Amino acid sequence: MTDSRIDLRNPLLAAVLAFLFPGAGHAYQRRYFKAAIYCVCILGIYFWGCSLGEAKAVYFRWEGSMTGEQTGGRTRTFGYIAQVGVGMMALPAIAQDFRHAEQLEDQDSDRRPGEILEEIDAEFTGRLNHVELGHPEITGRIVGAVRVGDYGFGTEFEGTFNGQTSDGNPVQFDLLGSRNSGSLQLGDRVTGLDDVTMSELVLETQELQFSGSRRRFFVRVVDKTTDLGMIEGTIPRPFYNHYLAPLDSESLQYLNGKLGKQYELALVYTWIAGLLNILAMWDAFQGPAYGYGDEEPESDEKSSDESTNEDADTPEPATAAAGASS
Amino acid sequence: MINSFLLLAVAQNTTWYVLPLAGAISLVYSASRYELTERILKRAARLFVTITGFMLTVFVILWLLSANL
Repeated sequence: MTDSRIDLRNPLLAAVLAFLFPGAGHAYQRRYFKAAIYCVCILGIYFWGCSLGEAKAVYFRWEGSMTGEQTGGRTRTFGYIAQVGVGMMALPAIAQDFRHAEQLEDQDSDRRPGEILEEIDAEFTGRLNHVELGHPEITGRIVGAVRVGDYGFGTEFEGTFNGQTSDGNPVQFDLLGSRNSGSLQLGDRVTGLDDVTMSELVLETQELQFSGSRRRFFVRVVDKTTDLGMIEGTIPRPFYNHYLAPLDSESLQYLNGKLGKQYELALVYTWIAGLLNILAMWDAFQGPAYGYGDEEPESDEKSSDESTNEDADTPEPATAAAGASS
Repeated sequence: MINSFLLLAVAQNTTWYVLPLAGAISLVYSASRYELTERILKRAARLFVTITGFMLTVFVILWLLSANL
């Protein structure tokens, strides 16, 4: 039974608060020292773990196949069950998994004419290879703004690019592509990490590049319908589209290769943070497990540490009490 | 021998990550057992020493066993 000196107020509410934000439940109960311990320790190791894993250690993915046939990798993140213990910080991963799955369904589905899958109006950075009849070829780095929207049927897109080359010359042209033909390649809208390696316009072998905050963008440059070249590079992926979003097996493999043991440490830190918060939640709900703390120390805590018969020590009061009552 | 031991400990830099983790676990665990600040801190210190002592012992045993490998 909880010590009468501890005011748990509304224990259920405190436990929920403790789950949502480590330490909040204890702050609500005015147990500020404990609130500070839970908040600093649990969030400290959670965010340290996130930092070690470059913010990709926490995500949720729960697909039907246990064998990983769908993606060839880890399709069920059992570790997330522990990570979600830190509450609000890890909960968005569930919503991100839904958004990710929804996006894959959209990509696979046969869309009706005129149905808008996605419109893009974003800053672009990358490379251009543009050949226009009667003009010299323009090749090299470009920056600018791309606008791409639905053409109206199926998976076709059209758009414009306005920007400049690295030496400051303005360039402007039309874009046209179709997801099915490969003339428009877009990275996933919602994902934690994605391949953004320039493979079409950089001929030499290039090291694989992955990014969460940038998204691959490749499209044909056209003059009405005549193919004049291509642009390849990246556009921004908003924070809410990559924060705690699921990783595919390729990205996970890249991350493990890049971070090695550090990624494993990140997982362990975040798992432990979540599991520790279960203790905090229980403390908020039920009070401390062993008592207030001013009782006689347990035999193993006595400074002498000489007690070898601690089991024999415990029943004595009960026996004495029984004797007194009789 | 002592030098090689220290070098090994420094080289295994991920080993040091266990210290803050053990500290956090000790504090949170002890805080969930008692209410009194002093008791929490004392017990956390004891638990921290126990955890790190145990790990150090295992480390030394493994190091000795692999000395001639």
